[in-house]
Amino acid sequence: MMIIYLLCGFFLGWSLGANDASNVFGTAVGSKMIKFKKAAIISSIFVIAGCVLDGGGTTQTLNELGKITSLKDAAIVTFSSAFTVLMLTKMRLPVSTSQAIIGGIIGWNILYNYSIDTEVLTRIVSTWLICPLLAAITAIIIYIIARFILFKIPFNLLKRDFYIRQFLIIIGAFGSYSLGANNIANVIGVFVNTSELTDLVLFKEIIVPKEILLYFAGGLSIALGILTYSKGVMLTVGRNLLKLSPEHALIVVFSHSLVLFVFSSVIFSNFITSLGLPEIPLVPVSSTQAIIGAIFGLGLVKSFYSIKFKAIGYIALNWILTPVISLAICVFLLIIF
Amino acid sequence: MFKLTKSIISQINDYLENVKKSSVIFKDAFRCFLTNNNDEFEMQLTKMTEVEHNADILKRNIENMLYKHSLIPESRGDVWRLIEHLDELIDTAKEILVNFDIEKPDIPSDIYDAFFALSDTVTASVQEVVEATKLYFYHPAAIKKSLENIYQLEKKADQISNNLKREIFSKKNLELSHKTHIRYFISRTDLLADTAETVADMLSIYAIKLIV
Repeated sequence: MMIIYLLCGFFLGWSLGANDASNVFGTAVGSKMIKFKKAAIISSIFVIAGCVLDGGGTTQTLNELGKITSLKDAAIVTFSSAFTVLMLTKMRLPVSTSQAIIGGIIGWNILYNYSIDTEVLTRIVSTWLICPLLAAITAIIIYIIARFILFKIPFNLLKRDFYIRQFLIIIGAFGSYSLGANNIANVIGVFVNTSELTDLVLFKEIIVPKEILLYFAGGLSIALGILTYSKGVMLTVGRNLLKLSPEHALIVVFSHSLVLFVFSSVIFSNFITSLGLPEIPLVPVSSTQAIIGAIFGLGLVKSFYSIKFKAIGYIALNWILTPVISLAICVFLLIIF
Repeated sequence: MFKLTKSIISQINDYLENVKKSSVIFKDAFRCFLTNNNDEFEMQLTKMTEVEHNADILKRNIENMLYKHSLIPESRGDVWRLIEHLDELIDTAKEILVNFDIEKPDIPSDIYDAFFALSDTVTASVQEVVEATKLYFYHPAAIKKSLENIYQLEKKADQISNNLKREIFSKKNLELSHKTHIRYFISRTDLLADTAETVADMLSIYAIKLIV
């Protein structure tokens, strides 16, 4: 039974890898700047690295919202989120795994009559609003800098193409790391406090904490999603949905990666606090919404008429729709089982 | 990959040098023909054939490599069209010289200077196209001035060729067939500046696409 419960988390990780890796490498692969195999391998390695090395911050925030100690409950919360994501994806809505899992955890709290920490909830919800906004501002700043550089410094078109390819790989790796660090909480966050899972002891001496095991397993499931199922999504995203020039793709992916990194890195958060600035909440945010925010920012500075306001409407709709549906499914399943 | 990029950059530069060389050969051969320096004209024609052959090899290599290695996916169609049109400049220049050699038009000496002015202007327009193409590859934001020069040269070439045609057709001592024959060479020479203008139009759009 334990394996089935863990498979729920594994399934959510797999679908996250299959869908969200396209935000990082979709345009590069779709425009044939990078081959899928190369993109998938780089993305998989850096997603796992992000999960294991920097996944703690967002996981802690999720646990502040609800400390789920039963493996069965954790599996139901994860399954509700995965099902919501699957359902809304089928309806062709750009859904967020992060918002689905929050809905599930709130549902669990409601059913067991646990009080919800409104301060934590406010912190999380506010990042949903800030995330696309910050991505848009970042994209505008990077665009202005890139335009200034390209206007001032002569650069051969082919050399420019060569360096863009290298940057797409480097920033793609950074984006994958940030994706893993930020979104791993969605996959394994609710399993961290379950009593059924314990630390692993190797050779009677080496103790591997269960958190690290979970981060690694979660990262592995995301990587598996990237390697087995993301090719079609990357090509669709790159050729149809986000048809951007390689230069614009670089700006959009870099903005997206920075925003995800800001909301996941403990080191960066501590650095900001040490400067006397307000603390950055470490919260799992939506990779898709960060990408849409960055494209919106780019559209704003390039051509106002090319902005797809419908996409912005979808984001706002999902802020409400996704957690509510996930919450309802979670409560329903917890009552049944 | 970096080696491949450097190799294509070098081949494109060589190709552009060939376009420039063809314009210089054209100008020299034109002068040789009008001054009856037949041996030198033959030599220039042989040089032109070599340049055209080399340019064709480079053109095929560049186009193959761009598509084979998926380089500059957003711009390779533009670069392909650009190179095809630049090739027209070499082909047209060679064709004019070959026709001079075969048909040996009898050009009245009193219009030599106007003919030289026409050949100088079209040659300058071709050389300016080479400069504009280099700017497209290296600094598209700075291409505007070069394109304006091409448009000015094309306008000047049109004026010279129209004046020449008027002068030819106003001559009472020439047969209509003779006049028509000379007009053909004026029009073909002017075509070089027209093709240069077409390339300039393409470059102005392609450069906008490259500016982020």
